Amino acid sequence: MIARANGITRPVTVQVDGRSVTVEEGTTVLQALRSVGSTVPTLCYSDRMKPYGACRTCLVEVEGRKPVASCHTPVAPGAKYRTRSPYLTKIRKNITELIVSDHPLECLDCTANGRCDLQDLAQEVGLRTPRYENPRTHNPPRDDSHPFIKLEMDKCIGCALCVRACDEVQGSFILAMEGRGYDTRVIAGNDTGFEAAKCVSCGQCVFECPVAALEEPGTREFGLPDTQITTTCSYCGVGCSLNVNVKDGRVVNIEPNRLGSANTGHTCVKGRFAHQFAHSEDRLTSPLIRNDDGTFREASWDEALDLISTKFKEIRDQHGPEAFSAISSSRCTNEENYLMQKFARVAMGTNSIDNCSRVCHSPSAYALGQALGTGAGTNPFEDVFHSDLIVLVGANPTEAHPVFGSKIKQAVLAGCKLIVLDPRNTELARLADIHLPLRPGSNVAVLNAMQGVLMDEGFMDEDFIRQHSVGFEEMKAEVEKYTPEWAAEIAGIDAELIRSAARMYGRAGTAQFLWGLGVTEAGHGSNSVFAMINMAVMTGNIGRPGAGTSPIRGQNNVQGASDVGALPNVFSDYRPVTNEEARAEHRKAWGVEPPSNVGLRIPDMFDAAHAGTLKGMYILAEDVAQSDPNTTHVEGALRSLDFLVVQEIFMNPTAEFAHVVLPGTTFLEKDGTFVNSDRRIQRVRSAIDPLPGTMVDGDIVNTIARRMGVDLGADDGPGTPVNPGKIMDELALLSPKWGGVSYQRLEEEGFLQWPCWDPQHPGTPVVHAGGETLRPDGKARLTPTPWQEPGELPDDEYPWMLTTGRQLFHYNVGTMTRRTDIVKLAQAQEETLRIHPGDARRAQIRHGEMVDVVSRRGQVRVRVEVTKATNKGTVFMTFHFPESRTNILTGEAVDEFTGCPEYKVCAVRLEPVSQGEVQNRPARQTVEVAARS
Amino acid sequence: MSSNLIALQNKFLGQGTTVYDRLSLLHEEQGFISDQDIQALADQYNLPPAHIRATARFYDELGRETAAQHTVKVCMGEACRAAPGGGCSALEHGLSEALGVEMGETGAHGVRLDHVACLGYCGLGPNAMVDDLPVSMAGENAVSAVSDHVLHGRALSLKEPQNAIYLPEDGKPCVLLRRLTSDVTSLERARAAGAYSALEKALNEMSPDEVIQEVEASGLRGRGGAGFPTGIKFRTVAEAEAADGSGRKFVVDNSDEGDAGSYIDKELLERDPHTHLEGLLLAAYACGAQEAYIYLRFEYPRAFQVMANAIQEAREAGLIGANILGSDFSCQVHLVKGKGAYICGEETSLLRSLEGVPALVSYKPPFPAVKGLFGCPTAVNNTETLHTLPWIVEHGGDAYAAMGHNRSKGTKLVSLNTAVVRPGLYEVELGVTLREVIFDLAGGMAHGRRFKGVQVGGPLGSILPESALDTPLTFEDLDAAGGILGHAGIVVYTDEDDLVKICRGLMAFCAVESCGKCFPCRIGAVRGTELFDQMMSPEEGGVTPQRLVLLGDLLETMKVGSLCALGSMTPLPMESLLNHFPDELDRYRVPGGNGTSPKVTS
Repeated sequence: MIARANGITRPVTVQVDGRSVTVEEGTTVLQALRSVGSTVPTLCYSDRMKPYGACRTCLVEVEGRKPVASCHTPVAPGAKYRTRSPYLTKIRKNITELIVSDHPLECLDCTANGRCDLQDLAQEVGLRTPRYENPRTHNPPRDDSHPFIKLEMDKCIGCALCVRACDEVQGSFILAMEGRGYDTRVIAGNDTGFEAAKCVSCGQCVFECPVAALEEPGTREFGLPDTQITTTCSYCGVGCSLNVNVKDGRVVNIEPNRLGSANTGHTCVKGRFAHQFAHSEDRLTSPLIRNDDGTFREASWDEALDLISTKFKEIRDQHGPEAFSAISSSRCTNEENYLMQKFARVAMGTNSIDNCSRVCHSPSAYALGQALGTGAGTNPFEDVFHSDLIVLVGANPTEAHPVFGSKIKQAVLAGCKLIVLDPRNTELARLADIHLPLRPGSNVAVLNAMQGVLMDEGFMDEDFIRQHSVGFEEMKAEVEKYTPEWAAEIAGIDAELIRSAARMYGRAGTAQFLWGLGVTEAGHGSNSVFAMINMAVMTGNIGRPGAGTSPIRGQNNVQGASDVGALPNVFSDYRPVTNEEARAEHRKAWGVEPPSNVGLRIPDMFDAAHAGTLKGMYILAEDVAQSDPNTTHVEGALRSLDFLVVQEIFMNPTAEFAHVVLPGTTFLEKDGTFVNSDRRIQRVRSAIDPLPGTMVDGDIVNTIARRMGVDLGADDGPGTPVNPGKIMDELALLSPKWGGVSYQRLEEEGFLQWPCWDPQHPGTPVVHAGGETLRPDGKARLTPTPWQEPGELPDDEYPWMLTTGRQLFHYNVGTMTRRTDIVKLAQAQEETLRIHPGDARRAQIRHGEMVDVVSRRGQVRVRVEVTKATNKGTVFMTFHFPESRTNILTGEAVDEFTGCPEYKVCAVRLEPVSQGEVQNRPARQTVEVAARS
Repeated sequence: MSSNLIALQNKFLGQGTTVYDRLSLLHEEQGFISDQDIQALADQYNLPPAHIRATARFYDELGRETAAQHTVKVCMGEACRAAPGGGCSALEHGLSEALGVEMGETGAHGVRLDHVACLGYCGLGPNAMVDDLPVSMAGENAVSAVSDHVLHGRALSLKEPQNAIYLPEDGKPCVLLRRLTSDVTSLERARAAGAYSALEKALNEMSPDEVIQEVEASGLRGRGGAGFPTGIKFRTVAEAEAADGSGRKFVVDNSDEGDAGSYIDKELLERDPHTHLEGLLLAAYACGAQEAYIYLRFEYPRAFQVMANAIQEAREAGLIGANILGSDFSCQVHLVKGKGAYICGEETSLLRSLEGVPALVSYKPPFPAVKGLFGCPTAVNNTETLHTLPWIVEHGGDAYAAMGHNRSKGTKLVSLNTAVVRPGLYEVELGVTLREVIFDLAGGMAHGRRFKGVQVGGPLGSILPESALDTPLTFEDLDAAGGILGHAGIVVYTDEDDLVKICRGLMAFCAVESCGKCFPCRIGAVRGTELFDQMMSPEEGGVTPQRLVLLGDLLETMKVGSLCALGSMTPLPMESLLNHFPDELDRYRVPGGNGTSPKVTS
């Protein structure tokens, strides 16, 4: 924490233990002494939070003055500090003696034994037994209510690190110190225990606890870990760096990595606690081959791989490359995705390779690419701390991207303004300065009206527009058609709200748009993204820290899967397959002529299968039967294929249709890299060996190719495993913006943000610096965004708008999270249909009842949750629960530019279920879909 | 830690409104805060229940979870401890017996017996508070009068006591008590006596900087205890800018006079509220503050009532609010009631209390003058300091600086306890000796008792022996004598007082009032209390050399290690005990013990 008086800091020179050091004014003595390698003990200090000044063990002597606590005292010019002396040891020992006098001496029975800050301190100062006789100690009851966080207050030393972590890092304010003086204690909520306090279970409190007053599972069951591996989380697109603690080849627990660039030492409940799926008994551990009767039998790897290579060759040779397509996986590494697209293009000769970004952020990538020249967000996460205003559209990051959500929350609480466009009353919507609770599907209308206000009311940066953009007149001609009153009618909100939001954006010095799938999956997503880019360009909010337009990507490597070319129209780095220069480079590197016609996109693949032109598919770790819209259509497509290979870690609805199911591995068992939402390339490192019977996904792809007689150049010779570093080198060679990326640099620097043009280039946190975009002409393109109605609208028969999304405790279709201890959380039990109290009355349904949700395509049964978190007219469901299969309901309408489906806009009706019917229904299905052999 | 919580309050309660305000309102209505109340507030305002709970349970008053029909609270101030007839412990015993309820509990009849911090009637003790009324329990029938009232519904025959005030003799300087020759509590009478003329002068004739220059010239130092030059503080605030660019600045009047034995601020507020408001407004004008807060403890109900009326009158007369007296200067004044936490007299704790977050002490720097209330520059001043300002503006800083002694300029109010013949409030010129105050002004020792020691400056002040009686009452001289001037509450101990017991009580006071943040104070005060208990118990071995070494170590650790003055100065009277009154400890030595008490330097 550097204090800046009037924004100017002066250097201050001090002496620490005889060594001279010059630091910025306002630097604390602790920071200064650490910078020269001196140390002092601390019990209440964490470099993630503001100093607190409670434990006083960091006292240092100051020549000619009284001792000061180094953690919060700014350096004084010319001061001479001493960190060690017999006197300081005596004072520290006396303080330690006081702490230990109120702390159980049960070190052997304690999970912090050997890594306890208090134990270390006692040893350092030479404290054995406190001299205080019969001290009154605390013996409050344990809070065991939570599956991941146990509180033993008798061990608490009162440093408040947990409370501060919940406040300053997570921003949930679940914890507080209650009372005064000696009896001050940590409480959760209204002293109701962690679980009832609606703790979000990020685990930061446990992580910061210097003793074991807060304890997580793992060590007590398995013992102290023998290895710690740093890797990158495989849940959402934030890209948290994790330290995986392993003992005897088993994950004991997972902690945040303090040095992680994206998460800065923070995690959410999923990354931190939801790892047990890796050791789940449900894991596929043998290839499965479909019998004629539709059941599966276990098969050897040899048999399965031979069958696949034979069948793939057959399809290619008999029906042509166009009869094959592959779906790659945003859950897998860049190297695996690169291999997968190379497999399709080189081994199968087709460009029909796609990944799940098709059904999520393809409109973002498309519009950003068209308008600014690069298919990714413009600014890094930490820029929320440099913004005057954040406009958050169709995203619920505090649940879906919790670590980034916390950063936004911290920025907003620190004074950054916030506008939220969302039909739901999310946590951030409640914190917003302006919340526009617009109807699902009305984004473009509202964003167009906002553009109009910016234009009409003179909020444009005309110099910027002139120097850095093209297409202004065309855009203006379109935008002029729209008024706030017109948009308000469509969106069901007050026109003044739209005006205020536009004005707030226009007036903010530095503002950024952040959006989620509520934009891209909610009808004409590409135009929504264009509209936001238009506004950013109009106001000069491009190419500066704190400004920009950034999508919040949903999956761990959905950015990377597209970056490395798992798309039907581009090679890696979004180089069109039709571009001659790119083709030449690929021809040279790959030694074959790459296919030149644009391949099938995912929805096209299903259509082609129905049409009979697509015969074979290879799906890597993507549960399309559950996560893609219009499940019935998808299932029909899969059923009609001649040969389907599904590579998965668990049996799932998609694999049910496979002819061969291959057991892949989790991120904990493999090496590679992921690219997170803000273009950060980070290493994934294998923490445990692949489960016996499974194979690393990249090795599977590579082996199939080898058996087809194709060398993908990914290994160090036949029979050797894939060498991810070698793949990265090839990727760097063929991808200009990755030109400087190598495993050596990633090891040394921790991460690189592309564009990273060459080995000397530092990477690019903020792209389009100074307004110079990455489009060939260096200009931003302003794009007309005509309003069109969403593909689906409510009517008398289907009067409610259903929108879908994530909740905090689960991830996508629950394949992983539902096989972890997360299910022990009461908040994570079952799917619900969320509906506003007023609507519930109108629909005559009550909280806790079962209801049938019926759309034009199907129907599912679900329990009702009446809540003000959803606005009137809109109902909400997640898609985490296989038993409720939300996507049976969702529609076939897609974005006209990218084919991205409109998951978020689905007209439904609600039919109460009679009591008898509920009772007759079989008990809730369990998650297991066991392999039938 | 607290800035996020303040932002949440601003979002969900409205700018400047706090959880503390909501809880206080509720407490005024119903007398307690239940768990359900906390949850209801959390639900209503979308605020974290843990925060509301932590804020409530920090305070003695807001910490009460259940209703009582009547509450009788025994004053635990030092003066009441040392009051004739066994002091507050005898009173506590008597009340407990008469009411049939244990201390800290509510009986089946709905009567609660509790402690209360010093009520500020130190010359009349022992005292108690019956519901909201402070009463002297010195009379013989006081206990039965209370029980008749709370148990049998009879009218309370005890009346609110009245401290004695002694104006300086003619010819002696009189600054603070100058208007108390008549009743000046109403605005009309106050103005007739000259109140607000200094404000008028300042607004019409002086720039804020000129006011600061006069205060600087006066040499006035803060009267709350720390003695920081007031002019420098004002200049710092005037020149500082709020980090959020809002331009907001505040003046805060610290009327949380929790020092047992002091009733200085109380009398100023009760008897001369308009001069006080005038001082507050002058400070706001000088500093460029648009808002002023008066933080006044609930233990002073009369002072609160008087100030509330005065503010109302002043507001109606255009002396508070927009364009005061037709000038460009605007200032709002907020009156906030403390809810029973001594630590809130510590300035950072007080600011946290005003911000509505748990009132834990904050480290300094940053100092409040740069980053104070809601992160804005804030002048926190003691009541008496502010009360001095009108005189300085009227007569000039030089005239003020002509009074006093050395670097301790001007006059000071002192208050004395029942050990002297004429207990009460006196205004003295700084530099007068302790002997003159105790033996000349206050008439010497009462009830035929002998002088043993004198504690100047409240519970955190050293206990000075007879040999120090000729020490002049100044910041520097008392410091040199190993004592403090503090807020200048004076408690004289007599041959009847057991200083070991007194020190035990002071340590226990620190344990009860510690905010609980820094480890040396939070744990140390409890261990210290236990150590005193062990030393005072023959069964547990009494005073031993090992225990005295441990006590010495503890006192040093608290002094050096504590975050604020409560922890770092509580050791002072105990060091006095070890250094000046070793005989007191001898009484607790058990035969066979071989040690002598070590000397501890302060």
